[in-house]
Amino acid sequence: MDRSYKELLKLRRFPHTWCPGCGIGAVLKNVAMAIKELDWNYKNTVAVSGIGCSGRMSGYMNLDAVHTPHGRPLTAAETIKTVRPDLNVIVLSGDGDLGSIGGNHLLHTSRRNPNITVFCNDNEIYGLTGGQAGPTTPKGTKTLTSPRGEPYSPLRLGRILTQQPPYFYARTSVYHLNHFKTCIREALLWKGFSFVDIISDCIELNGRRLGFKTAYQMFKWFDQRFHIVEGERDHLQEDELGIAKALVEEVPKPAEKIEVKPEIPIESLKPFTLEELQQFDGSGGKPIYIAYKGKVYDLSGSLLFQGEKKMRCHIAGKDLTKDIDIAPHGEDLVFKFPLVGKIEG
Amino acid sequence: MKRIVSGNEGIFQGAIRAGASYFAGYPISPTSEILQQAAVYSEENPEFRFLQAEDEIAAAIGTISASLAGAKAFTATSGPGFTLMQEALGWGHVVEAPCVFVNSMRVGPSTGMPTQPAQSDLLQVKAGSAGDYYPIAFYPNSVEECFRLTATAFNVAEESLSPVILLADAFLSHLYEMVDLEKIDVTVVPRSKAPLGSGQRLFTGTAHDKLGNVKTNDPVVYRAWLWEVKGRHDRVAEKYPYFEYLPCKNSETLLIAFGITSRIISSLKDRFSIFRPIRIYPILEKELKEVTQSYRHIIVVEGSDGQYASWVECAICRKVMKVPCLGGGFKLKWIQSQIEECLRGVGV
Amino acid sequence: MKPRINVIWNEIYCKRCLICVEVCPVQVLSLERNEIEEKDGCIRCYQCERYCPDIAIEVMDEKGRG
Repeated sequence: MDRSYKELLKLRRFPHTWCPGCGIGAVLKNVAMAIKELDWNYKNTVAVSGIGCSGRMSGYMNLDAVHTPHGRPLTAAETIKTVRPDLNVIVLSGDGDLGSIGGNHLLHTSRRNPNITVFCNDNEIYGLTGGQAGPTTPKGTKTLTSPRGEPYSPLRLGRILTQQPPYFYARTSVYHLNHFKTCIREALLWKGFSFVDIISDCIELNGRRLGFKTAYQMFKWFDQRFHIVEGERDHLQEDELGIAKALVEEVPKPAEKIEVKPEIPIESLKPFTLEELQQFDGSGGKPIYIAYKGKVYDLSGSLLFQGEKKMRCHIAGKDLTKDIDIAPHGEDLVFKFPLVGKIEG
Repeated sequence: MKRIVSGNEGIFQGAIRAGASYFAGYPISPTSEILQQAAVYSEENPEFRFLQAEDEIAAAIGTISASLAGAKAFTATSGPGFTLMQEALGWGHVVEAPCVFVNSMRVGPSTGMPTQPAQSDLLQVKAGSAGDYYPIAFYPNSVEECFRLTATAFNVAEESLSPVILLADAFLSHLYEMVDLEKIDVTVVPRSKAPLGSGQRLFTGTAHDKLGNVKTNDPVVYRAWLWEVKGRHDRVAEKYPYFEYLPCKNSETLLIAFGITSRIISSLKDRFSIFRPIRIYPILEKELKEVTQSYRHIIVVEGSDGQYASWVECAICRKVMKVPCLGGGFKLKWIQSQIEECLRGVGV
Repeated sequence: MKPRINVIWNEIYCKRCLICVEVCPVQVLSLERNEIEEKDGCIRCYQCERYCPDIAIEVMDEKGRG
């Protein structure tokens, strides 16, 4: 048995902080194993975590780790990946953090599809704060904040994350170890936003209230509730463990046609003197001409002049070279208009 | 080359000059232009990264994370957005991430008057996030100073290892002036923190010791950490005691104003002495004490109901008079009449 | 680190969650007087080690090393 994954864990801080039998320990261990198998190390990998029990995972990794405030690990991870594309970024967090307080970030980070991997320890409860109903708590579950049973349907992370390609959504459980490891590995290798929803147990603050005596009894309950589906899927049903993934088929862009304006040789342009130019100020239905760097442009089409003599700062029929140089806009605004002549002398 | 530059552009260009390579933001009046400029700039310069976040919370978290990842990062917002950013600011102080937050103030609370200037976020800047922390904040009053102080804010951030706040107001953000940005000289302090991916550190918002071990039950570790941070911030702030003092010989009255109000009342400099704090936080205690002792009357003119005035009172242990310019009303005539009324009230 | 017959048990890391005891297909592990004890009959399936969330139990290899 290969135990080299222990290098990736801060064993000096063990035993870790979680309750006996908590699934987070299993998540931490198996993620460390997968990272070690891929031979990632502290020089190329960063762990990001959020709030709650699961947020403490990053602190046990022998990596540079970022422990963000409640709900924000996805934004932090995305930014780190943007600034340092050479780093592998993994997010170790929980269902309350990602689905509830960080729900907005989940929607938008998954939409922007950065190349990060998210491990969500989905224990269907708020554990650290004492066992309140969370976003994924099944309907009817009794918790501290739903003493008569949770009245609302749970958030379906799988549905949210598989609404439009590209996506990678895997659901697995801490009991189905082999499947769990496969999912972690595939997610880490996925190019883009990958999300592993790990059904995990919170025996002390959820399981006991549900009538389970040990963590293993909860594992058996997961085995009854879920079954593994093989092969490639687009979507997962609520009782299925598996991987749903889809890529976007890239449509090749049609080559853009660039219109090249024929360059008019300066000699062939109609010569104007500054006095002549002054005539064309838009009054009496005449066109609006201005001069810029020795050339005359027809600005009659300009919305800002609108056939009047002036716009805010520029006067029609004048050489505006100096005005435009200090204007907040650039000279490209002038080049949009037809060239009609040149200034003599 | 001299050209017309807005306050917002001054801030953005100042950040670029200081070496900024990351901007995250969310559209909000009056700093949307900074966001737009960052978007355009990142198209032309791919090494400059840009994120239009889903909200200000994400923008602020992005800024701090980018700083941890090794970029000089900044964000810009206004009062209501700054309120959302408080969470990240607190986090930034604990993980000691150098970055810059620009807050261009408008009339609040809440949505308030989005297009009207105010100076009423001073208390929010000082203590908007939970717990004790020691922010450093600067407040320019011209486009050139916007440029210069933004660059300075980045330097102070690197030295103090904390998010530094650059204040502005809706007026200043949209103030256009002729400036030659290329000719402004600024010093640039290099990155002071090793980026992510170079160790086995833990950057956590939880209380921790020097090795990054989480210590949530140890007052000794917490105090040691807090005193160290406070000491460092004080030392750095001492290097930047920025203020402007225009004494008027025959005046017994000192006007204290900053940002756009100082600009507006500058035409009264022949009748009153004017003191303009540029470093808003930490409060310029020593300087205020020295300057104010020779004046009988002190009037604080500001765009809030006495937020800075109360700091002045604390610093100099004396009552001061206030002229609050509220609801975006920054008219010189009105301010002048209020000052005169204040002085009539004390028999001048 | 306390060696048993086929497994090494780390009493400091262990939180006595009993996953190893219950997952063992031949039921050779048990918790007695707050210690994990092992009976004869281990089939070296590594399930206890794989399932332990605390890295507190390791199955020794053939030569008797953990």
